[in-house]
Amino acid sequence: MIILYIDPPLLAAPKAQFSIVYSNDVMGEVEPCG
Amino acid sequence: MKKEGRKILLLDTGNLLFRKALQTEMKRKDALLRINLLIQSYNEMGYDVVNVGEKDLMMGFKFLSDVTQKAKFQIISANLLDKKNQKGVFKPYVIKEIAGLKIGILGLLDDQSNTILQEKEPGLTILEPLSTSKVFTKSLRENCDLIIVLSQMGELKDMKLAKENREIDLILGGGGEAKKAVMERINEIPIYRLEPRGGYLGRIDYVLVDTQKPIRFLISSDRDETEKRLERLITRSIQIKMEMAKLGKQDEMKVKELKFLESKQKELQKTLLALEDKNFYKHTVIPVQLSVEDDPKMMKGVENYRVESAKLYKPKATSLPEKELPEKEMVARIPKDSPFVGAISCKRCHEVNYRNWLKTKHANASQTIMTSPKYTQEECLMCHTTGYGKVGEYATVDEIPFYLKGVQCEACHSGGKGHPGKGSIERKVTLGICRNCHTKDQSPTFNYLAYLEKIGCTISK
Repeated sequence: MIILYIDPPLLAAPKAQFSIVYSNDVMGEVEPCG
Repeated sequence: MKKEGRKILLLDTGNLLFRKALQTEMKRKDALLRINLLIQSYNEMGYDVVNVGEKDLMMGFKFLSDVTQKAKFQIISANLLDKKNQKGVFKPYVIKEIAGLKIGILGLLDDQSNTILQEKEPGLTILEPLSTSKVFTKSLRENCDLIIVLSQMGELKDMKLAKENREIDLILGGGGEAKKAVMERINEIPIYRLEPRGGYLGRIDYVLVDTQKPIRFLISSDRDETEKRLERLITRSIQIKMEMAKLGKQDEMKVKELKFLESKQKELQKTLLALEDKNFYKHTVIPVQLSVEDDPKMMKGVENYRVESAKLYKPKATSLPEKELPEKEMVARIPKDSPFVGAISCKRCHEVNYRNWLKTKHANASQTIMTSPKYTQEECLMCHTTGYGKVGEYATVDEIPFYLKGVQCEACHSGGKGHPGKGSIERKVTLGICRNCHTKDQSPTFNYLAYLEKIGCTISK
């Protein structure tokens, strides 16, 4: 059995992290069937 | 995400309040209840900014202004103006500070709806959005690290905006005719929009490493792909070396391939090294499925809404389905100008299908919602009748004419007027047609082939 291990590339430590969460057309129309 | 302590900006691009014009007083009252619930829920979730959509103005500016009095979030629109003084009726943008960065959020409406708007609101006007955006992004760029546009202009205009205004860092779209999700990049400006009706949330995670201004973020998928390519090259190189060791001699072709792989490896390593201290973002779509845990406080609000809404419609839970008329009389009662002719008309040629259909849940789909607390609500009727919104809208199941009651043939095969001959019947019912109603939430166990068989619509003629 061969176990391959590849070093992950070094990433600089993040100074900050944040997220944008979004929604759109919450009451938007979906084509009614028929 | 909030529990994890993550810093979040919560944004909505608009079309939040109405689906269509409210034709009756009852629907208006119901809409008010629903809007109050929406605003209360958005406050609870901690939404930061909501853009104005064309449909949000359906009941006029005063109505929108009044109902959003309780909103704790900021409502924005950069190109909705008071015609007289040429001033915006909402704030054009908001600047939010997050993780030490200043983020400018600008709201835009499609000026195509200007004519319709002015019929209701002659005092208001919508400015051309592209040039308006340029005016605002120019000044926002002086103060902000990132500029986000919340758009209600539709996909094509969003793409045009990205082509023509390079000051923008992100476009979150909505509106327009398209009903599908969008994930585009034009001039490195990402454009994202989700399928409508709140079934999904979009999430963009930013990792800031390089704080040198101007702040730029790169999409992480490009870096991830390079990493994967490098991994594949390394694995292949090792494989070749092992094969040569096993052979015990040098193979010219393999040596050549190895050299090629090693030079490619160096190239990719160099690329990755250059990305080491860059800023990245990653976009994901979160389906708001039944598996997502409900918030008890929010659910209480939903339950209250359902109870209050049901009171408005005063359901007659005991009413019985109408007695069937003789077939000839039924056909004669279908309006000549109706695009929908009813299953009874289809029966003339497709009797086997008709008899099969009578035994299905589709045939009784309208009756099944009569005892539900959601009785007669628009959301239910859309999928529990035929041609809702196209032929007519009803407040109660009793009001639905017999040829549109239940999910009849034309709900899936489209209106049969002129068929056979001139009509454009959908012979094949695609998964997409079923998914209009059998959504992941409403019909979590839906299986296209199995359900198609249940419906029993194998072509008889």
